[in-house]
Order: sequence, then C-alpha cells, then structure tokens
Amino acid sequence: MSLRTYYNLLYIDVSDVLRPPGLDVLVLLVASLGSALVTIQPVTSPVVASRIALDPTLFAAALFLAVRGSAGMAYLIQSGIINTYLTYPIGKVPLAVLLALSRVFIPSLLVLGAPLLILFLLLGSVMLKAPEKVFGMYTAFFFQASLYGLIFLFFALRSRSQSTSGLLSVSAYFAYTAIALILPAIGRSTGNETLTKVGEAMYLPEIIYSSYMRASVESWQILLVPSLVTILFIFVVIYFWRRFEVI
Amino acid sequence: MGVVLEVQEVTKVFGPTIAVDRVSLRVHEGELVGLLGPNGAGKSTLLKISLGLLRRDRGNVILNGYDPYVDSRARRGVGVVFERPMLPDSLPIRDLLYRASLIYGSSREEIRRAVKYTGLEQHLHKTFSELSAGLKQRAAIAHALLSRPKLIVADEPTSNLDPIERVRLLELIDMLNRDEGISFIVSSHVIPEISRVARRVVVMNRGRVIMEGDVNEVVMKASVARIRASDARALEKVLTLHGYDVRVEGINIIVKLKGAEGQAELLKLMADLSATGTKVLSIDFAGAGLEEILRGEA
Repeated sequence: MSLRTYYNLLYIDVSDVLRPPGLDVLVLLVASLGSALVTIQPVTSPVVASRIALDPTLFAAALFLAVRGSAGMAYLIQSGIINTYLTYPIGKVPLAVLLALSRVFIPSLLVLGAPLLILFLLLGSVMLKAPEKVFGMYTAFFFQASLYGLIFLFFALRSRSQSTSGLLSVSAYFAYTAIALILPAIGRSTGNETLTKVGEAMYLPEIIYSSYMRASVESWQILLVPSLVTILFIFVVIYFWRRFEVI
Repeated sequence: MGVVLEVQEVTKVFGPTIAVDRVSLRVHEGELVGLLGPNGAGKSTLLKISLGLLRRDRGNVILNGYDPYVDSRARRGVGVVFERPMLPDSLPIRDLLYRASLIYGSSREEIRRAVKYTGLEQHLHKTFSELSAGLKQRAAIAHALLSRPKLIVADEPTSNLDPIERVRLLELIDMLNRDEGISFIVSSHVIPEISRVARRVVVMNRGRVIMEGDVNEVVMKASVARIRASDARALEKVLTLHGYDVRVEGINIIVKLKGAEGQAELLKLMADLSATGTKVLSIDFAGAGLEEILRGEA
C-alpha cells in the first residue's frame, strides 16, 4: 500500500475527529485563555510564558481526547464505521497507527499548538528569545497529553461503549493526576526520595520546566513519560492487531 | 470459472456458543450466491470471517488468493455493504467517495460511474447521516464499487429498506452482476428477495450449512400448499396415507409438495377426493418460506 492510501484514510478519520463544533471552539477558547493568562502577567521568560499558557491547555486537551478521541473511537466501533475502515485493503497494524495518529497525536499537537501560536503573535520578542526551550516545553506537554490520549484510546477499544470509555477516561485522568500528587507527598513525609522523584516524573512538563530553571533533574525522570507513551503506543497497536474484533 | 472466495470448514466460537460450525462454501467469478438463514444463523459472522474482520477458530479462508485475516491484499477488489451501512459522517458524500477512490486507487471516471449506477447525483453534497435509509445503502454500494470489485459482499442489504427501495436495490445488484460481471454473496432471511437475484443459495441454520444448491430446487423442495377443508383432521389422515408430509395449523392443512410436479399431483388428488365427498374449501400454493425450508431439514 502506498503512503497515499494511508494519508487518505488518515484524512477521513482526522476530519471526523476535528469536525466542528469541537476543536474549533476549543482552540479558540484555549488560545484566548492562554494568551490572556500570559499577557496579564509581566512575563519575560519564554519558558514561563509557555508553561502558563500550556498548563490549563493540557486539561482542555485531555478533555478533548476523552470526548473526541476515546468516546469518538467507541462511536466508530458501535456505529460500524470501523468495519468500513477494516474492509479497506490496509493491514490492522497500519490502521492502528493511523487511529492513534488521528485520535491522539494530531489533536494533541493542534490543541497545544493553538495558545503557543497566539503567544508567538502577541509576545514574539519574548518567545523568540529561546524558541528551542518553547519547543521543549511544547514537546513535554505533547507527551503528557499523548499519554492520557493513549490510555483513553485503549479504554475505547476495550469497552466499545461511548459512556463507559468516557467515564473510564475521566477517572483514569484524575487517578493519574492524584497519584502524581500523592507520591511526592508520601515521599517527602517518609523521606523516600525515589517516591518523590517518581511522582514528579509522572508530570513531564514540570520536569522539563525544572531542568530549564536549572533545578536538579535526573535523566530517567525526563524519559519516564516518553517511555510510557512509547510502551502504551506499542501496546495499543498490538491490542488492536491481535485482540480487537468487530461487533 | 475461477474461485473468488473459498471458505473451508470454518468454525467460530463466541464463549459457549458455536456461531459458525464447520462451514464451507465457494463463490466463483461472476456468480451471485445467496446466503439464507434466520437471525442468529451465523450469516453475518461467516461474512465477517470471509473478509478477515473476525478471527476464525478453525478452517481456512482464501479470498482473492490470500488469507484475509493475515493479508490485507485479499481485500483488494472486494466491496462490502453491511446491513446497517455506516460511512464516516464528517465529509459530504462527494468528498468521501473521492477519498475512498484514492484509497482504492480508482479514477474520477470510476467515481462518476459509481454515482451514476447508484443514482446519487442529486445527493452528493449531503453527509451520510442526511441520507434516507435507501440512499445510505446506495452510498454504501457506490463506496463498494470504488474498490473495482471482483466480489461484493452484501450482508442483509435490504433489511432496513421499504418495499420500493428493496426492489430497486435488488435490481441494482442484479444489474451489476449481469452487466459488470461482479460476483456477489448476498445474505438475507427473505427467500423471495434472494430468489430474485441469486442463482445458487446456501441455507444456514444454527451456524451450519443445512442446504445448498440451485435456488429453484431449494425453493421448490420446500414449497407448500395450504388447504382449507371442512374436516381438516380427516383430510390430514387421507393425505398422510398418500405419502404427503402434512401438518395442521388451526383450520388449515399445510402440505409439503413433492418436487416439480407436486402442484399438479396434489390438485389431481384433491379433485378425486372432492368427487368422493370430501369438502375442500380452498387451496393456496405458496412459495417456500424460510420456515418451511428449515422445517424440512429439522
């Protein structure tokens, strides 16, 4: 199969994920919110500006991935559209990769990219001081959003129900966030440094931010979330390939 | 004639239920095969296995020379129409067919032909959910035609349609089979519909193939007569003595006909019986219903 084949199926599915109203409203909202948050504060650091804009956007991205990525995927299965996709002369592995791209990676890139774009327009002189660091922050937030998105996608494939996958996705998001907060708290109160570091590493943007602020960060802390994303991505692809069956 | 689809001894189990039990069938090039059976007979499961959408537990499937479960090349040149056709709703039909044509590698001319065949010219600006049930099915067929099909698998394509749309769709299937030489396997639980288009039928019940052959033979084998008589029980005895398979349903006696000459033979017997005083109120001959076919094999 040629790349053109994959591109066109990706185009069809991305059109479904991004169909209005949805991403358009969200992007407008997070872009306005992000830029407002930054411009009302006297920010002169591109890293700080990126963090202020992207932190609330990550929550919006997670919601979008839960609703359009996960519940949308469950709808594909329930409605039978996935059967149509599977009748194309495309293998299940490339199809799983395409679905991860359209349901997780591309929406994450777009939702997180919107406020940054506005920031570059409004605070170009600040942001262009260190574009590589802005990119670093953006990548960290992208990995974090992708981690949530892949968990949500797996729930959709497993549960095949819009309501169940939506509920599981939101629960998983809050559970993950709670664990990332509780572990460092337990670590500090018990003097267990590893626990503290694991908890901190579960939120990659904070680790990258700390490293840019010259705080001590271990290399495995930077790698934890990207590794989890890689493992989850492979797991989702294998699950779709070996275990997923149409209704 | 080459074989487009070959299913050999396929079994599929869902938990404790055997959905498909050692089923074998073949579809030859240019052939239109009807797959008959009641709901739950295993028809849809068999078709999904044939397309490689479901994993089989035993047996082999060869579609276009490849195993469709492991090799996506098997689905090249295979169009599919599901019972509840669902195409993505985010694009107008025009754009969707264009994108699908790029996936299948078909040309703009082929899109035009598919649209013309299915009569969708006036509806290309609409999204899939804006179409009526009949038009949705037509859009699904147009989509299937873009695959440059050697075979179209249609799973109960008429089940959600009104009688007029049903007839139109069957005519379209028949035309595509005759004019374009496209092979079809069409599942249904309505015998008159399948009889209208298929030359050969495979009858399934409870996951197994219970009958297979020329559509007229299968239908004829199960044709019945419904007789109303003043004394149904007495007439039942007489007909049973003459070797007929008979059952009484209220005031009706249902008689299974014997082969191609069955109607004439039964009418002659009824005339003789009337002459000797048996009161026959009416005789209706009915084409075989699925119930009769299944009953005959029970």
